[in-house]
Amino acid sequence: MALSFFLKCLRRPFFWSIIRPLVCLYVSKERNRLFTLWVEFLCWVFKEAWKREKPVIWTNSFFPVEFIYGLGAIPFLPEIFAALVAYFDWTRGPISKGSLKTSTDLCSFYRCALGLEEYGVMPKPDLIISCSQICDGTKAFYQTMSESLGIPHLFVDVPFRKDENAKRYLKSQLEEIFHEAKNILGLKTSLEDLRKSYDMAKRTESLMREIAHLRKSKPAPFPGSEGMSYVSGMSFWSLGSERGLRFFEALKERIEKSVKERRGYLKEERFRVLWLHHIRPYYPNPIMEFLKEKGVAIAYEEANYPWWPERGGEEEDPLEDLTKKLLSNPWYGPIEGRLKLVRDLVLEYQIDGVIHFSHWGCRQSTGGASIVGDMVKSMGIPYLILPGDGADPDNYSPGQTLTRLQAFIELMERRWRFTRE
Amino acid sequence: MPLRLLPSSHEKEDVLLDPNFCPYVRALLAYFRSPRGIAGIVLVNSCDGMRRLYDALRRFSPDLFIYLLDVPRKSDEEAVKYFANVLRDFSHWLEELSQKKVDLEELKEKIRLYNFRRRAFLELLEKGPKMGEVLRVLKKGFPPDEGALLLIPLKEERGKTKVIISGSVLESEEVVKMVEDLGGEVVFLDVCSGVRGPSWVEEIGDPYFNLARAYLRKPPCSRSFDPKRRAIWERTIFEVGGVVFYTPKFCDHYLHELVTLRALCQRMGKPILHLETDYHPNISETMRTRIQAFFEKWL
Repeated sequence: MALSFFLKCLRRPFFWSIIRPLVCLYVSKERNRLFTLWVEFLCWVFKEAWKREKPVIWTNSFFPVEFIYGLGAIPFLPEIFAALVAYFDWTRGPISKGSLKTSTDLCSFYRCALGLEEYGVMPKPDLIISCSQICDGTKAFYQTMSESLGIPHLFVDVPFRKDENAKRYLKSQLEEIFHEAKNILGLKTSLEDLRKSYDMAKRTESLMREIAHLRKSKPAPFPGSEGMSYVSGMSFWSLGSERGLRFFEALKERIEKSVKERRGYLKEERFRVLWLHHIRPYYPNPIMEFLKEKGVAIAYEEANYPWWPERGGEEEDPLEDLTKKLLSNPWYGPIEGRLKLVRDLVLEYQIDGVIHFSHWGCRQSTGGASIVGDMVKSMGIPYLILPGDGADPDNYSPGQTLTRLQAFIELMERRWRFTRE
Repeated sequence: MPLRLLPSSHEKEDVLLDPNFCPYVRALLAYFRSPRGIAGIVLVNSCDGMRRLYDALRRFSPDLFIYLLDVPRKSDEEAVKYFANVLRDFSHWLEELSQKKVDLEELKEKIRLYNFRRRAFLELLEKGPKMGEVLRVLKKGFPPDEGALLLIPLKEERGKTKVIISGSVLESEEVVKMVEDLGGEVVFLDVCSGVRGPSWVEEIGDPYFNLARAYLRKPPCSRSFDPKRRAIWERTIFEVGGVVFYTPKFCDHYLHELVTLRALCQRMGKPILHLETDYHPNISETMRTRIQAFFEKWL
């Protein structure tokens, strides 16, 4: 009874209007302005999406969300919503509902989203747009949703190759979906409107690059655990919006201050670690606290690296730039792209150890874990493959995980002693 | 000489790839641990598993000559143009491999020959062959040559219940044979190693473009972004008594599709049996029991 009342509340825009100042006030007690901005952003998205004054478009994390803001629609990202639900430790119910429809071998974020759809807590889309980056689920899950909800689905097939032929094919698809989305939603958006969100994204991205640069400082000025949580949430969901720009301005300000004061986020930083894969376990778990206690700073995480080339000048065609952005994704294409990225990050962030979080059900990332590991180890850097699950707390073994982490830290200590001698 | 790789050994690679990875991909990687006398390998950008296999093979067997064919998921004109250019690039790789120039006239001749085989194969399908035998022949490649077709026996009598077998790579024809032995009639072998090939390739004009169009517009699989797939599903499920859905473990495309398929079967009142396997050349006793129970209970 209470649950059904709560779920009903979640579907009311009025609820989000009321809850927004209250939640923001509550989280501001922690003096984390960034987290408050994230919460404020989420409340705004939910309010707008349930209000239904603007069309709601479901999309996957790696589809350029600025395209959706440019269309004049509200983007909704079920994958990130599933991570949010995990943060509140509420995924058990939705995952078990989702698993009944398919197999437990699938990515738990998608299974969770399947279940959440049944609870009716995700605002129904007017359109679904997804692209094939960076895993097979991005087409399959959204196609399944499109069929079960009876909602049109526009799909961008990003080629594996990165040559001129691939560029032409990709750009033609972006042009086509821009027009088709307008027709389906009855919007009169012009390319100029798209340019507005594109310019906003451009300004935000230059902040993201500055932040990535600032985070090279020693001691690590910003915790990677937060980088993989609301920071990556904002970079996937808010790019191209005014709120996104404000968030990254505040983030830059905070990191800049810490760097100036030479203040790290840990009291004593013993080792700097690079976290690979776009996710971490979001449900309550002791991993981050354990690393913190041992003086291990997550100096940077693969998830927040602004991988795409800087956008062109005023005259640049936004769709041309989005094409370049999609084609430059290092996680989609031959593994050499990711290897180069990891090597650069290890060197630039003065990394002492690399953790590859191998999320259950994620083939695209875990499939490359051994190859990445060989490269990292050849650089003389300790490397740990940490199997786990980002969304399903029942698929996580605390004892095993902490033992592995402990052994990894000992390895870094031995290397440290060895290099000192 | 093309050879379709469906290793028949139980061996799987567990070190280079995670154990929660497609067993077919791991079997292929294990297969290449020892020299096989294969000149070149063509992989298809079909799934995350194949993409990572492409990376792993290049990394750990650097002397192998490997090409990843980037097949689009769509089938519109832009996709066809893109794929035609990919095929052109592929022909350069073949030239390098064979040290021989690709002759366009010879390619057209091969298309004509294969069209002849496709026709013969479709004619055989209409006569009602034993599908287990069809699968055995198809494991070597599509379309099968005429000699192989002659060896496929026809069904002595039609099965009592029409069944569709769908899914990903079906490595064992025993599954099909068992369905047929239990009185089922397999009307459509909708699996990756089955009969989804194109029925015809245009013979006049640019052969690359013609091949690209034919292969992108053949019956779609779960990887394709093509509304035809659902239409085919609805039509075939309506005609059959039940569906056997066969997937190797961790096959994301098909496990996602299972959601839609289950809903469709439920709506149309047709039973569905999902068999998840670890890519084994032989059918397990558990699977036998499940297939038997499915027939006893529902068909």
